[in-house]
Amino acid sequence: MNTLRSILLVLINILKSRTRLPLVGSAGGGQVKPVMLILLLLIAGFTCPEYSGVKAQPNLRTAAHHYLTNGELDKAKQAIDKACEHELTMNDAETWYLKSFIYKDVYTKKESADPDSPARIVSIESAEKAIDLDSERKYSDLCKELIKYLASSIFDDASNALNKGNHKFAIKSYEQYLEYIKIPEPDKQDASALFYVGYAALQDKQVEKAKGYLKRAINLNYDNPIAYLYLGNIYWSERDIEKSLNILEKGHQRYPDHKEILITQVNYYVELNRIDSLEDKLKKAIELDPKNIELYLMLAQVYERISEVDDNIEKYLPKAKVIYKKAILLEPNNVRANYNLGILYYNEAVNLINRLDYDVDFVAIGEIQDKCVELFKESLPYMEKAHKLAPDKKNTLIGLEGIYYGLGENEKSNEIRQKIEIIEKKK
Amino acid sequence: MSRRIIYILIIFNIQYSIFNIQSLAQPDAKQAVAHLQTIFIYRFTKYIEWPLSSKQGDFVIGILGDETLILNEMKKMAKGRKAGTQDIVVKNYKTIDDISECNILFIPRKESAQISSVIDKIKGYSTLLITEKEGMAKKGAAINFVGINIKLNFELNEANAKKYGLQVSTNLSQLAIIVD
Repeated sequence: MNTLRSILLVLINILKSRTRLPLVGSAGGGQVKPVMLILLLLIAGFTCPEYSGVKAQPNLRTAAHHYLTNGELDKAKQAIDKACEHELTMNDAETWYLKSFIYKDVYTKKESADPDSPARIVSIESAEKAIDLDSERKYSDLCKELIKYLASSIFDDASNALNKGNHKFAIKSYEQYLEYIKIPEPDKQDASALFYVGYAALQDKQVEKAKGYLKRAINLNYDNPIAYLYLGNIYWSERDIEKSLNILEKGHQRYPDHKEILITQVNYYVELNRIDSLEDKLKKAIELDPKNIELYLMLAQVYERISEVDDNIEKYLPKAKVIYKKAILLEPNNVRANYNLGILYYNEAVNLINRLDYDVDFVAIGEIQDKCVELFKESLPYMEKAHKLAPDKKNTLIGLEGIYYGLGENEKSNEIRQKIEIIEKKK
Repeated sequence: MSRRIIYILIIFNIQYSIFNIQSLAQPDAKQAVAHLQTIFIYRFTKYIEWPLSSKQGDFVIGILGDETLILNEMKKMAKGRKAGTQDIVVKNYKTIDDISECNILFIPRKESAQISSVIDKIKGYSTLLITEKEGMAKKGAAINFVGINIKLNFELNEANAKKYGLQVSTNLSQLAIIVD
């Protein structure tokens, strides 16, 4: 524009002066006719870069910057979008850097409440493009900081979505975050984000995805016991038993005081009937949760189960009784604790008789019988309590019927028998 | 920008379970008493002498009525066992008319009212009559189970045993409650 203006001023002066102009370089002072000069100047003017538009695009970028400075974001966007499309500026790192900045402002000033903000994504992708084009590394650091800032905002939006239970959106956003954060920090693996994707995927029943992300988080040593718990549960639900037990054990080793991991292990070992592994785990669980009566009941039942092996009766049956009594101290009106202890004594008595060999002599039989009477008498108060607390529980009635019969209280035994028959008729 | 805290609701079905380690089947006191009675009856065969005529063929233990507990226990005991040189065989006599010659006849409590008819039926047999109701030792039974059920004991009426040609060892007499 300046060149054209200059030419016009010259033309105007020529016309004003009506003088003959000397030829440049003519020694004899030859003269150019004004008309010719005007023509020459016009030709020069039409071919000047400003007039031909060759230098228009840097001005678009400048304009974009100008609009940005003035807060005219829409105009800034238009200008920079055009600059990004033009062949002369589309490969400049500066163009894309400016675009990322403009769109960043669009996001922060107009779309920050929108967790799906398109401007934010454009900004990030523009910054990435700028980095790719930035052979002189003039803009890369700035772009990386911008990406980190925006990626972090995506993480926050993902977390909000997760807190609100919008799991699909959370997954999408966390995965975006993980993708974008690699641009400024290619070696970074955000274990917490990996975990949260895993968690969200689990809630959304995308089990394979959940499994993959939880594994990655754990492999990065993510510091949260829940990761082990979730992954253990997933393996268990897929009946991948050994993997489940292994990961839970790893979690337990790392977090020995974590109650939920321990209890999950206990439950799984019980289901697998791996009784031998349970005693220590249950004792530890009780230490951590001393008022949890279920743990006492579990431990007592483990002892009962171990005592099934004859060699262990002497050692483990008394332990079971001690634990049941502790449970009853904790909750005197717990039906299961009372019933379980009552039936333990009852079973012990009956089993003593049933284990008698046909060749046993009468003296030995007498001793066993005396022991059984004692055991029935120990059993009775707990069974009667259990019956009082849950009068319709059939198993308690059957036990009571047997105890009364064993102790020779045939009338009471018959009364209980009638109650059992009433219950059976109701079914 | 700092990360917002994530409040994860761990909806986690931690199983403080109604948990049962695969409980054993609950044994039965009545079945245990039947087992005791079976042991006693088997032991009696070691302390009582039957006449020579009764030592041929199988050693038959009969049970009157439909008491399945004692019947099953007896059958279990009988498998592979002998009384002296005789294989033990258990027979169930549903009615008095079904009773045939046997070495031992057990009358469960609820069949006790029929003792007189039973005695008529086994006249001439060398049968050890065993009952489990009060007073039966005086009504013809050689042995009557008594005591509170798990603390089983037995009455012995030697005279009733001798009526059927049976010899009772003094060792057994010393263990029993003697009834004349």
